[in-house]
Amino acid sequence: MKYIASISLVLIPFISSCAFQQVSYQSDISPIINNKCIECHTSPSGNGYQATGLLMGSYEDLMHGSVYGPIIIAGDSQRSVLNMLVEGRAGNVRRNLHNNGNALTDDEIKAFKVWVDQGAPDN
Amino acid sequence: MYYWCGWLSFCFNLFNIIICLLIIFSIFLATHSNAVADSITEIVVTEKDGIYQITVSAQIAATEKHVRQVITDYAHAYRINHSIIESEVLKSPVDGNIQVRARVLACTPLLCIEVERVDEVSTLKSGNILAVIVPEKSDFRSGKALWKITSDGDKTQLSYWASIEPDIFIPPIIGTRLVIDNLRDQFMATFSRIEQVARINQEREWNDSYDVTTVANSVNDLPCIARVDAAQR
Repeated sequence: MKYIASISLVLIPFISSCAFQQVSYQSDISPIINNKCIECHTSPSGNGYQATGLLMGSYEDLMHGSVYGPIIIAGDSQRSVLNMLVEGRAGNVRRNLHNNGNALTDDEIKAFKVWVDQGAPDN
Repeated sequence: MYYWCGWLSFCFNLFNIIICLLIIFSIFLATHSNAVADSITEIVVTEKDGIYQITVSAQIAATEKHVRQVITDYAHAYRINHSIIESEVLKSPVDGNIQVRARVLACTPLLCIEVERVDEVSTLKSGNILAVIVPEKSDFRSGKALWKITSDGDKTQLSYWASIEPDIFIPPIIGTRLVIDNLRDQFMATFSRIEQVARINQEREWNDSYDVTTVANSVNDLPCIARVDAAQR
């Protein structure tokens, strides 16, 4: 693991995000959320909502985040909690989120990443 | 009066204007830093021979139970530090211990560095938490950290001491300065977030008619945290 540290210029995420087609919240992200996330992130009884207060029914809800703060840092998927969770970078949380057999596909995870890196627009 | 006139004439010299601006900027930074840390009583970061030492002490406006819960919630480590971009709990070869792996994104205005570390974490008889870096799995030659968590009524005295030796190239002087500043900022933000998250959890537990919207809004009115966060921005 020694010397594993990588150095990246701040421009690299920007450049890499430009290489992908524009991701649309309405056409790409919202359908994923409605299919895979909304069941638990609905007030008042959804498990996800009760655990963290995160609603995902609208763009505004998503950008508002949970009781612990915003889950999206526009333009920075690496530090966005949303991306950490769906990519499984926060302990075993990803597994717990999707243990009902309706897991996010790699393409859906990538769509979240590109959308956030493109600034998480309401487009 | 003479004293001030002396300073003014000194500053009118074109060459010395830069020095004056630097002094003024330093004074601004010093006063700014003092305004930041109402709840943090001590924060010192030093470097000698490539080894960084960090000491932070603060009074946290939350109970010891909730502060401890936040600090040991390793799967949600991102909640207390936005630079932690990955974390997981691993099995330790030592009974009763765990290992915690974290990947941290340390950024300066010019570049970002990803640093990986694995700590062997144990809870001492005193209740303090000791974390010792596992060098062969980390970007550190050595390092250890100690969290002291002491109940103080409905508040908590929290102190952190660490000694770390990064195993990555850090340019001398400027690089070292940037690392010290980054560590200082990171730990100020981390302590603030520990308080904020602990209070959120505490509020949720206490409030029978818990409403996440109310909690989220009321937290913005809570103690020193808002001031620190604002200053950090």
